[in-house]
Amino acid sequence: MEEKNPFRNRGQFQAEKPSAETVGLVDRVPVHDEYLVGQQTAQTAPLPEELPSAFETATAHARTESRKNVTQTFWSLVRHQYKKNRVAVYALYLVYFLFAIAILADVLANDKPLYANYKGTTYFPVFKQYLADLRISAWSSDLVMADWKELEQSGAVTNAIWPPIRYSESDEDLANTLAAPSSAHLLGTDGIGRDVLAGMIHASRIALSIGFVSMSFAILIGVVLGALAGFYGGWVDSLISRLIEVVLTLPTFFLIIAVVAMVQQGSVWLIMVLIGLTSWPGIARFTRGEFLRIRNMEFVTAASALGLKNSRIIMRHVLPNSLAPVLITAAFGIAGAILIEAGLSFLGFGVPPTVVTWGSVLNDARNDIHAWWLAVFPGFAIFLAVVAYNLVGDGLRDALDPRLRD
Amino acid sequence: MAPGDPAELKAGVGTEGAQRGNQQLNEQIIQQIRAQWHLDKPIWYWTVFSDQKDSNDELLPLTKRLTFKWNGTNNQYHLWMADQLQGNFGVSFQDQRPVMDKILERVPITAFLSLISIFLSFIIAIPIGIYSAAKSRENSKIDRTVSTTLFVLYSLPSFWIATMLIIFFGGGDFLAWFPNNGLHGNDYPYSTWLANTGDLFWHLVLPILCYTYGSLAFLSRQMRGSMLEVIRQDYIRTARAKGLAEKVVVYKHALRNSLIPILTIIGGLLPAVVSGSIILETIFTIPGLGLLEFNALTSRDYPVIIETGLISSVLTLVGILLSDILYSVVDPRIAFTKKSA
Repeated sequence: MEEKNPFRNRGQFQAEKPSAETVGLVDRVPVHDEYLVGQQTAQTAPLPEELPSAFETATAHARTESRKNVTQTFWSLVRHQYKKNRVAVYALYLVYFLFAIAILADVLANDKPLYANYKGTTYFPVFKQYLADLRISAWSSDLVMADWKELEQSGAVTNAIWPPIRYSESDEDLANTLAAPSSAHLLGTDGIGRDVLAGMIHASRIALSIGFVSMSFAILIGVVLGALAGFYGGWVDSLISRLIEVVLTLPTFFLIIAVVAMVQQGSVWLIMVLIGLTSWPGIARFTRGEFLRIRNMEFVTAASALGLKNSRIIMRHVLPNSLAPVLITAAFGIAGAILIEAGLSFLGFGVPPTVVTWGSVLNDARNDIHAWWLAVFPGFAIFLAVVAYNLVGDGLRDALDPRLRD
Repeated sequence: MAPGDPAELKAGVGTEGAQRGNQQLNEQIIQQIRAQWHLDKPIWYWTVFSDQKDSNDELLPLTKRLTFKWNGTNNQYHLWMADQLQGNFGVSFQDQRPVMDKILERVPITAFLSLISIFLSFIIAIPIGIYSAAKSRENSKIDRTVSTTLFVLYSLPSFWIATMLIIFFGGGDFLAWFPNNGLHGNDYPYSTWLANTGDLFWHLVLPILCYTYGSLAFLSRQMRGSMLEVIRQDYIRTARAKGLAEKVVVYKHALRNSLIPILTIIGGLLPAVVSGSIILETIFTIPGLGLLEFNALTSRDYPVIIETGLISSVLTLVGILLSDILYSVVDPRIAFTKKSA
């Protein structure tokens, strides 16, 4: 039972080797060692009379030795457990895939070629644009506003290698507005002739970064407040708990829409901050619960008996042991954040109208009931991102649940 | 989205008529409207950032506007709160009608829709949950298929499904089986009561579908989870050991206890019953509370926005309270009074 339940026991391993604490080695005990599971070969404490240097080398040696013998740390156990769930593993691959698309967006869909020969000079226009944006390099005057497709047709550009999709997200093909999917525009175009696929590829950046940034923000607030409430208890706890309850009662989506609608100029950052500000209570509650549970364990008592400062106990001893439920909430939270942002742009709030997001393309579909491609593809992208993160969260929850472990 | 503040909207700034008319008079009218709605007053008891503008009529950077000014009770929040406490909920900026009237006439529509969908999802979800949990022992393949389907259903964004249903079934280039907006057809005033009811439900098919599938999936998962939890317990093993039929074990012994967590969810649904869904009501143009909220937001109708937000917050609180009370009613092991140790 004991080996099977690292959740309950993580702390006790540390309590079993107080020798390191007593002799001031506390800082050198790596966090991972607290998770040693199934490795009960706690080094016998060297006698304090020994020379400090000899003692240190001895423990260091013993520690590297013991680490070689370790078969499973807590997180490797979790990873092992997670891999048993095939669906969750595929969902994680899907998340990686979406991130790859977001990072490579400029290479996948661009109105500039990757490589081209212009007037005898070799160019890498996509990458040169990065340098130009960073003001490291600049376009020559005849190429600043150049339309590379025209240049190629007129023969000025030769040997061009193009990205798979030859449109950028803001590239307007005015001859083909609201065109159905074809070989020229694989997923069709919107009302002003922007390629839907190119728009969706670039919009993946917004969707994924909204999920990540807003959740990082929520975790920051939630973990700090939850930790304070759980560790100190008393009036701090009552105060923070009441705050959590107040924020929980707010109608989140309505509140975000209201603020975004009131602000003159919406931006992606505003939405990230708002989602972060409204979604921390769940994380705070979990962290508080974990802190309440852990702060009464022996190793925390031992740490405080050793005279460690509260900040040190929180940061090095309690916090690392209480992050598991936060991770699960964050995975679901990212899915929720992506959904909220998509809903906002679907209603026409939030990001400025020139910015293409999955939700805004879907919104265009409402204006023209015949343009089915504007509804099917971006909606499917939203769905994929949401389901991927939900499945990862579900897999994490199962992997971290000691009851389901065999 | 509408630019500017409500007073400018009311005076029609930006419209052609206002541009042709007397600019000075127009400015006076705007100031009057602002004074009437208290929009010229500070928002809170104190001001931290003044709204000083530079010569180009643009706000100075935040650091230059940092002040500290005590505004006393003559501020928007205090005046609003005083009105609220006196039961005076204000009038809409748009049509000068009392906000409460506007809200109360929308509540029945939203509540009607939500109640139908909640009823449907409970009726369907509980058997699915029981079935899936029961199958998890003998045939895990069925259980896994059901679980995955429910998970996918749960993750489908409702506004996507709604748009797709309208495009493919609501008279786009594909099928025109169902009407795609509103609650009544064009011949509503001239038809019989029976025809109108039929027409209403015909209009409700797509919206109800969108309202229901998400909560259906959620409830089924909950039901399955709590059923599995209960079935693992000792008294179920005892029931099986004494030779009871599996049906009796599941429906008589396990079901009652597994319903406890489901019942408490009902409390949490209260705010949804009344505040509805902004997105879905906007898509289907259902004149409920959600559409009222949406219209208020786009036209900066502050009193309506504040009051609807307030109502949903209060209802969430009541919902939490209700589910706590329900919990102790259905589960005698949970008591609110402190046990003597």
